[in-house]
Amino acid sequence: MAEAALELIEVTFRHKISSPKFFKPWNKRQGPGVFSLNLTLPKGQILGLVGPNGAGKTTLLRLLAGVIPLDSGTIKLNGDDLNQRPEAIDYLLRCNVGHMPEQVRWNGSESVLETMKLFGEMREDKINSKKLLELVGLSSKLNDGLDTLSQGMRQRLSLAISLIGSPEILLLDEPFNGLDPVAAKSVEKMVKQLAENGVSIIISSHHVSGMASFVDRLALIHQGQIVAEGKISEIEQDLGLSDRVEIAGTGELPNFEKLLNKNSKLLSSHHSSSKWEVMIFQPDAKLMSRILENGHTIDFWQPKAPDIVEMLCNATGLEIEEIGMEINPVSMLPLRVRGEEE
Amino acid sequence: MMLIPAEIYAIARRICLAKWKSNRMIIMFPILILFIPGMAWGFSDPDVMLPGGITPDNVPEVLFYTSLGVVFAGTMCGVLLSFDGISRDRFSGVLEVKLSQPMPRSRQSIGIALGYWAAILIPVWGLWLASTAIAMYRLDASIEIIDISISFISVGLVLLWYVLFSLIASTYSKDQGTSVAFGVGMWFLFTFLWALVTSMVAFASGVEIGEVNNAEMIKLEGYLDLLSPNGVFHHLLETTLDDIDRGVHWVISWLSALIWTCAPWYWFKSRMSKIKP
Repeated sequence: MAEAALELIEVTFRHKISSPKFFKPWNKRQGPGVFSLNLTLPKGQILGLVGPNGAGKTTLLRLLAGVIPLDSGTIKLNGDDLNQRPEAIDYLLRCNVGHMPEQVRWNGSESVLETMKLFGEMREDKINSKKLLELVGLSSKLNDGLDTLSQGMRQRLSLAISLIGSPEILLLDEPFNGLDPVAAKSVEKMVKQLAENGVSIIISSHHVSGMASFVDRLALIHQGQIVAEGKISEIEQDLGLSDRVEIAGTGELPNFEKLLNKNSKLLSSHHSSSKWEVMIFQPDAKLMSRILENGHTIDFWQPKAPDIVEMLCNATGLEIEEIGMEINPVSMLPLRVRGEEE
Repeated sequence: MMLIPAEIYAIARRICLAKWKSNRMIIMFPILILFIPGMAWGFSDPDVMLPGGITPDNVPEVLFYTSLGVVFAGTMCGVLLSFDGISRDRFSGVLEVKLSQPMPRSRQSIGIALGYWAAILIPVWGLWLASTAIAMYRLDASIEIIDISISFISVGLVLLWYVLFSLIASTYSKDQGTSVAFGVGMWFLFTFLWALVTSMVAFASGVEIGEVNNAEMIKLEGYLDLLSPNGVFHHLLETTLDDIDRGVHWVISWLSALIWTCAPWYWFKSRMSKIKP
């Protein structure tokens, strides 16, 4: 694995939740968050962070952005243990990390350019605002007021602001929300280019269908813990989701109990009047010929493509029906209510 | 400007300009004009007779009575400009972007406080200057540099206190309604209800509250006023007047002004250092 840009060791943060008592109405108790979380972000790679709503993705990104403090654990930045300088953990993270939060509703009469300049001054960086805005496709909106921007434009502005100061690490929380398909594709392309230039990126997204094609690694998070992490192929293998083929044909459903050898397994089958579909785990090289020799017709034979939702279900133990309402593969989620976790 | 670090100045300037252009300021500026120079015009009328047979006959005295305009309109305007200073950014998600910048939160809080303070301070100071000119012109009198300086500093401080308390309330608010209620409630307490608090404490202390010019009541009121921003503001202005003595030494007045400045400032800074988006 490449050198680690960021390493989290046993990181814990728990939200404080209001729990009023009769004589102590301000009482708070520990709520959800992230627990004993271990994660490594290699330099110049893109890590996809996927998990159901409330899994702790936003909390984790806020911790890494230095917006909320750690309860316990260690963060290593380029190999340096930040716990050696506990007073400066948040500051060091903020200096090295660009953060694009989810769904920022930029408002006010200030122009896009003025807003960029303000954040440039906050980062003490002599930035070329126009160039950054051009990069995210906002060059025609330089002098427009923030109130006049659409949600997609606001997303682009958030992205441009996260790039101020050329951060080594970029945290993108739902960057595709509100973007049209063309803009989403161009953001995807830009993220890839940044990674090629050595920027390490963590991207949290519900846009799972498109994620597999451009992330280098994937981390599945559930109830504040990483349940699987690695390259997609590695996770597939670990979860027993590799080496699967989807087969479809016409006529009677073949008797796979007889046709499969001892290493193969029938994962699912579906049979309607004249069509059948099955999914086989680790089919042997001669399975196709055995099916045909038994007089069956094969219309379709294809290795099963990686499916992040399936991985998530497998890793979390949730059924797709349970998780289905929470993960939307085409990603157009309603605005988050502020003050709530997600 | 160069005394202030560039990034603090940038935040303060942006807030100040945005507030000047806001609808709230467009609505409130005429009210400020009516209350501050308007009152100065009225109180500097040679024929004016205030309750108790008082006729203001010098500029500091006119400014002292004109300070009611600052108490009623200036502070209210300060509260209405700053009540959502933090909560608005929090709801929109902008606060999270700001907090993720390397600029220390303590500096961000200074920039925010200075921005909101300047947004109300500059117009009110402009009107206070106009009021001073009106009083000087109408009474055909002048004012000593020390007196005018004290009056300007006092006006600046009372506005700062209200702005800081509104911003502190805003850091606790989870919705706009709470921010408004806290800010306006605080203004209402110190502007209207403080007299009631004073009377209740006086009654409980056995002081005769019905009697006019009761020395004991005046003294008690003078000390209780140190617990209210408006009261401290008037104590500071009274240091420019010769014939008022409420038993509170000017050093105590300025010391309480210092406490009223430092305590909320520290509270706001501490809230900002712990705030979560």
